[in-house]
Amino acid sequence: MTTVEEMACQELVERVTDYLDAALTDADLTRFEEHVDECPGCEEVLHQFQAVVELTGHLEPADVAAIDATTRDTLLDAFRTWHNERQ
Amino acid sequence: MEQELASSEDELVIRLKAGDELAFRSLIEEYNAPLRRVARRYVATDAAADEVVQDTWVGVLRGIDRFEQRSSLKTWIYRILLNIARTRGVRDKRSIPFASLAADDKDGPTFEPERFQHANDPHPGHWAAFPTRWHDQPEIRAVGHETIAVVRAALEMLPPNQQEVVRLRDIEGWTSAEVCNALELTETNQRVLLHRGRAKLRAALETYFSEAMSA
Repeated sequence: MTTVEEMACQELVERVTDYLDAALTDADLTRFEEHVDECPGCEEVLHQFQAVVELTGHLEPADVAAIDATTRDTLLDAFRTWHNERQ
Repeated sequence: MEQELASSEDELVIRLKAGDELAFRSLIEEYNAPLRRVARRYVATDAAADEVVQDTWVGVLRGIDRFEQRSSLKTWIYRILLNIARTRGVRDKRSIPFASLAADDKDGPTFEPERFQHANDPHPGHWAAFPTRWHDQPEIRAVGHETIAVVRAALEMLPPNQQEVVRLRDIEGWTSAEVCNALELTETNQRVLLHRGRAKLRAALETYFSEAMSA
């Protein structure tokens, strides 16, 4: 056997974010990609994680929480005071 | 791209230093909510978190003239926030360093062990049965309202640290380095949190699609 040890599915599914962040070592990257090429289950899981990232990206920051008008006005007042004081 | 980002940030800093109110307004609209979420982890109440964030903005205004852009504007603002939040958290006896919570539930696998073959099966560690295919469902491609609702609900259920990292990385588009700097996490901890968070969103979609497809 000259090939490196195969990456099992159970290990691969825990390394998907490392893969997407380009944080795998060269050896693990090879093991990861060789496995995904051969394994429809892991290929699907990789695509699912990519779909999750894509879908999450559609949640706008404003969609989950935005600055309320009162806070914004208070901060803008503070800004004007600061600006006037340094003139 | 990076060049472009850098120059638009340079411009923003110049405008802030010049006292341009619109520049400040765009800054608070972008960062107030995420700052508040981070602050909330260090202090006991929403009201205290609001004070921390307000003090942070005051600190930004007081410090902007001396800000030399050795770090990004974003990282600099988060560092001001963390200093204030920690001081306040210690005073309120509620100091929870992010890194110590970073390990929350990190030891458990993100896929149930039953989904894989066991040691005495023909291929230990390989799928017992392949996961259901749904990544190319039309609803995913079309970014359907229901799918988005599933993701949003699952996101809100995540533990605070996982949620924060997923929000910053996948919603607000921060780089890994920016998240690590702002939250003072190691690269490894950051990726563990991100992966565990994403894995739970994936599991929520899996449940949603297996119910939809068997209906």
